[in-house]
Amino acid sequence: MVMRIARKELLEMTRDGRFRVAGGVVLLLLLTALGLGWSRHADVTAAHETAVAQEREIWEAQGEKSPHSATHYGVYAFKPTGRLAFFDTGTEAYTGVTVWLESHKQNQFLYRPARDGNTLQRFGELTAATVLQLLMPLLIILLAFAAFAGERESGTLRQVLSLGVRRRDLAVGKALGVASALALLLVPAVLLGAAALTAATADSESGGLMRTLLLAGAYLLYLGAFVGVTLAVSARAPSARFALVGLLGFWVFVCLAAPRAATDLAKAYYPTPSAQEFAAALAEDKEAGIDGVDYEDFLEARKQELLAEYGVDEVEALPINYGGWRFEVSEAYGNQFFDVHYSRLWDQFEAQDRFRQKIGFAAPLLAVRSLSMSLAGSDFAHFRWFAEQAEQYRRRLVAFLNNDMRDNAGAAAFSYRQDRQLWSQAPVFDYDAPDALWAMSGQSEAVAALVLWPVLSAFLAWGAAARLKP
Amino acid sequence: MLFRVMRNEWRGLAADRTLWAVTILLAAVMLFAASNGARWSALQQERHGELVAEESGRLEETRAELLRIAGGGSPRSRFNDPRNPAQIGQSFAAGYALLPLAPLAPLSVGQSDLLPAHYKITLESREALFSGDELENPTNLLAGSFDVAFVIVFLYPLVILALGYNLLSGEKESGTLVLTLAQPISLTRFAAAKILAHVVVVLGLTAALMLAAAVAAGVDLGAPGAFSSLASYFGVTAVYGLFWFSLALLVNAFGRASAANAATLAGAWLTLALIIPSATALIAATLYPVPSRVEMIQAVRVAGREASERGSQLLDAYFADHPELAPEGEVDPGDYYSRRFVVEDEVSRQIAPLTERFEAQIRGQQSVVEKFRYLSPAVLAQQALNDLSGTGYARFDHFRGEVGRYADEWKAHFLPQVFRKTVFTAEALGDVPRFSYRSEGAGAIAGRVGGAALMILLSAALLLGAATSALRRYPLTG
Repeated sequence: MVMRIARKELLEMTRDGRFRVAGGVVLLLLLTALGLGWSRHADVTAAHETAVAQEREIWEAQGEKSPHSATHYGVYAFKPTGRLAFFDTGTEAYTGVTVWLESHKQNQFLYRPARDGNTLQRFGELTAATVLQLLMPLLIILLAFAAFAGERESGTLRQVLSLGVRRRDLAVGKALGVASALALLLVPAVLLGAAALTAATADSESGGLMRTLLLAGAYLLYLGAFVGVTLAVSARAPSARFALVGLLGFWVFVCLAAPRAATDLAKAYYPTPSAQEFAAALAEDKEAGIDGVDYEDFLEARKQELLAEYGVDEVEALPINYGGWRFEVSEAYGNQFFDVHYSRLWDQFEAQDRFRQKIGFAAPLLAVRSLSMSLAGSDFAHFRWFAEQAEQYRRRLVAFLNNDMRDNAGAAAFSYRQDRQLWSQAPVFDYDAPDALWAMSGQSEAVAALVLWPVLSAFLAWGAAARLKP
Repeated sequence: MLFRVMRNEWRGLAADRTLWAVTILLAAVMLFAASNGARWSALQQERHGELVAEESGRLEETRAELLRIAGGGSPRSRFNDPRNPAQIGQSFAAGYALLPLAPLAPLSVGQSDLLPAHYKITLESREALFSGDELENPTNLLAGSFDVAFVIVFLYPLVILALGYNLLSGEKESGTLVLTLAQPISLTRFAAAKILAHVVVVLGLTAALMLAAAVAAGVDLGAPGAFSSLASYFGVTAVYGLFWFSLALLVNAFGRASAANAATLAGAWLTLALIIPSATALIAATLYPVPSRVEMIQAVRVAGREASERGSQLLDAYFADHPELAPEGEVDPGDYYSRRFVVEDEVSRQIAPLTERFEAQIRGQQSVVEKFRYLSPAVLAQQALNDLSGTGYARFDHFRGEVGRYADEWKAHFLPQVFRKTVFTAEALGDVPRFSYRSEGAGAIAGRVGGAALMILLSAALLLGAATSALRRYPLTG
């Protein structure tokens, strides 16, 4: 019986002009977004690879200079785009693409692509993810708002129930009908997406498949929640128009109002400091030192340790270059403050993101958006992961150069020169993208909300169907 | 008769819970939006205050330091010597260029969270001066703000549609339509009276809420131009509302069921307010792809390396071109600052074609947006509201232009002193150029806002015309 109902629902929908038009538009947008997203992603990836190779060449060809001057010449690290970012670009337009790595300073990322874009991108980027997040739920509502309410108005519900069809079979059948209509749209998109993904992950294996499967699961849960809510409302609503207006209101709240409202609340509870405040606080702390130990004290203590280690009384008697050694001490001193201040700033951003995830219990869009960006590798957490690796690399590179001066410059100090031979031995920045498990680890609230919503809505639909009035 | 129908419609609206629910909801979201806008503009105001305080503090310290050195003291170090005009222009006296907040800034966040409203001007290259960003969580920028403009552009049309989707279909379904038309009134007049009743209620409510929101957001209505801007803000809102009323009337004029009308109107809203803008953005970005900034950095690096290798040669060539800037006596090829700025000048010249390509692509994207925006009244309204709040793209673009001019003035002031190795004094601090924003003029804004409002009005008129002709074929039965 269930299958027969499902078949009837599917047949009815596919014959309905509204579904054909709306479904056709959604499918077209989904395929366009995937296609253009893919080509843009390929361009960005190619530009990134060229830049990384070129930057290394520029570094190695910087000419003769002292190794410490080379730390000031510095290198640029370029943030790669997430492997699945063609599906969900997430925050990529709003994070800087590059950071300059030099000695003494941890710099901010530069060049948010959004600043080079057009004004309409603030209306929302058209990606496959936004089609699934915003348009699919609307399509579900249009497909299913009349499922019970419409049949009740036309009187067919009374007839069907009089045949002895169990109410819950009817509900399950209708849910299956909607699901199979959606599958008609999703299957081609999924096949295309999977093909693009295979091409994208052919050369590497950082949990791409795992991430894709989890993404598919997240969207199934999300869309399932809308099927459940729509059927529950349709079963309880006094009329089809009431069901439709109520469901559209729900959509507006979940998909339009909640993301922005949550953002303003997040900023109110966890304020972002200004660049000026951030820089001033960092400079002030650096000046004051930790527990009253400022740079001079810090250097003096290290110097005494160094002298004791070599058993000499003055720096001139050291077998190493004191200047090179001191540069590295100043790095160690400064890094303590970068660690504290950047962690504090980024923790604040993560607290804002966490807050948004929690609102996912009220508006599932926020849960699926958070999870989707994370799995696509385009959320703030992935940016931070990159930024922290770049910073660790900066420290390794600067230490390598300062230590070369310490060990080899002798008494020559700044007249000590190095050349390509040393630059080419300098460490290379090998960026390791995190795996799917890491991406999921910050998403517990999103996952909980995404599991809760379909379960709760199925429960509601089940209950409403059981009490269905003809 | 017309007025009687309107009065009857008001009674109907008042008796229906929908209107009250909508009023409460709209009031709540407007006040929430106003408080968000107020918080954001207060924060910006505070940041500007901090920058101004930092700058004047720094200038005071510099003056004191210069006087101390003039009185026989010695500078803290060679790299920290305010007598050196290069160091004055580079750090000691660096000037902030601030974009002041417009009176209605709390009503639309617009582009103000993404585009910098201040730049610190030094002797760095223009690329470096413009590359800085305010700190912000990228996820916040992605989501956008819940401001009054968001309520007007996205939610307010939905209020109009929620009240008007069954304007005629509701009467038809309850059987009152045929009864009413048995009275001496035509369907067109009846429909006009009903929609007019809605217009009066919704616009009256919106005007009251907007005034309340402006007051709650801390807009100073006494500030010059504030009240007329707010009046224009409401004018754009009213015109934008008329578009959606006309659309609701048109859809009703086809005589289909309420649920079908609701679905059609929801689809139309989605297309006009979300799909067309996003698709336009995508088309613009595809037609005029902006090259990655990564390429730009590489170009600067390569040009920089080549230019520094030719440093002393460039210095000679520079003074040959600008003999008025040459120091007296021999040119010192090892002079760090002279060399550095000449090299930077050369780098800027080398990468100019690339910079031009960036700007051409961005202009190309924006030209697509300018053409396609007429397809969506939501885009027109959003741009007009941002323009009136001083947070639109055009104002930030104008500001950048002004800042660029200031940066040139800055260079022109300091570089001759650098090359001639002038000794900078406390008195000279008073001659350092300071930035004050010259606004683009009320005429330019009025032109853009008026043009947008006119286009919205025109599309509303087209819809109304179509509705009138459709009403003549209205199926009263069946």
